[in-house]
Amino acid sequence: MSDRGALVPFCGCIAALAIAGAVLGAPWGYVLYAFAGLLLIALISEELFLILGLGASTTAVSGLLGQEAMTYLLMVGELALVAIVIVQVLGEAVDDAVRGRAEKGRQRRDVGGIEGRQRRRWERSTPIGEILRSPSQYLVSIAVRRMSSEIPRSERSRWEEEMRADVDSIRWAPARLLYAVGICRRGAPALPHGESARRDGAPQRYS
Amino acid sequence: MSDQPRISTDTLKVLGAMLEDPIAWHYGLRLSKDAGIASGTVYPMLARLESAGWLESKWEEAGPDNEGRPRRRLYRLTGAGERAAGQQLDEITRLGQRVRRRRALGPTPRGRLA
Repeated sequence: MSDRGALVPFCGCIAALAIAGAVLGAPWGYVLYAFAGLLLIALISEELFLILGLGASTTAVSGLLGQEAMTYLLMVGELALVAIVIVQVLGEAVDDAVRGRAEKGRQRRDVGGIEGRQRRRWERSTPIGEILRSPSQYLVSIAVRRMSSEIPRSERSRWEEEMRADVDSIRWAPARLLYAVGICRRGAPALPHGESARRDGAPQRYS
Repeated sequence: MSDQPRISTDTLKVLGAMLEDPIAWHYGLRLSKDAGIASGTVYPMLARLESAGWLESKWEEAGPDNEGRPRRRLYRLTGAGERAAGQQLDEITRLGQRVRRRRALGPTPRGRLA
């Protein structure tokens, strides 16, 4: 098998993880975690890595890039993924500290049966934590913030909940992200007669 | 009810999609797909149409079909909205027919008034 041919299993494995994550609607962060796991195996146990059939591929990569470059590649990739994990954990920790575990627990409990779940509001979270958990929902947050100057405060939560629900309905992650990008790009719903928000900062009445 | 909302091509597409089943409830994502318009366009449009009284909206009711997912905001044409939407689409249809008839007569020499 040629060096380039040996790259196929390695790249195929990563691609398969990414596709599986997208099809299953998994947050893209979990796909990265799987990749991080592969890299960790490579760093810790070369035997296990060979058993998994990836040894030939990494040998091919080393042959193409050079052993030193391969080492740096693995190290940088692993550090980047560890940093992502740390940031996400910190994001969750900050969420808990700000919102309180009691409130999050109450929102997750099956309060009132089906009706309780249906009335559950999406949690606001720190930007980094929200991005890592769900980039598409984070984009909805951005769209809602863009609305803040043009719709009354009383309407904001309704639009946020509505758009989050529609985004959540899309199972395939790339389509979900594209839909959210579309919402974010256009931003706020315009006022009925095309009037813009008053420049003194007070929102125009949405009647 | 406010004045007539701004009617764009995308608005006509959404109204056409809703007129296919005027008594049914629709939600933003489905309208975006059925009408073939961008996600960023549909929500501002629904807001304008609702503000003009052409649409009414409500939250989805909890049930076994929607268990485990967030509730959707549903929209439906009002009586006035159905009539107004029908008039808009009829006007566009008549305009299209006039244009086709004129094109069937052949090109007008440039510079000559029609």
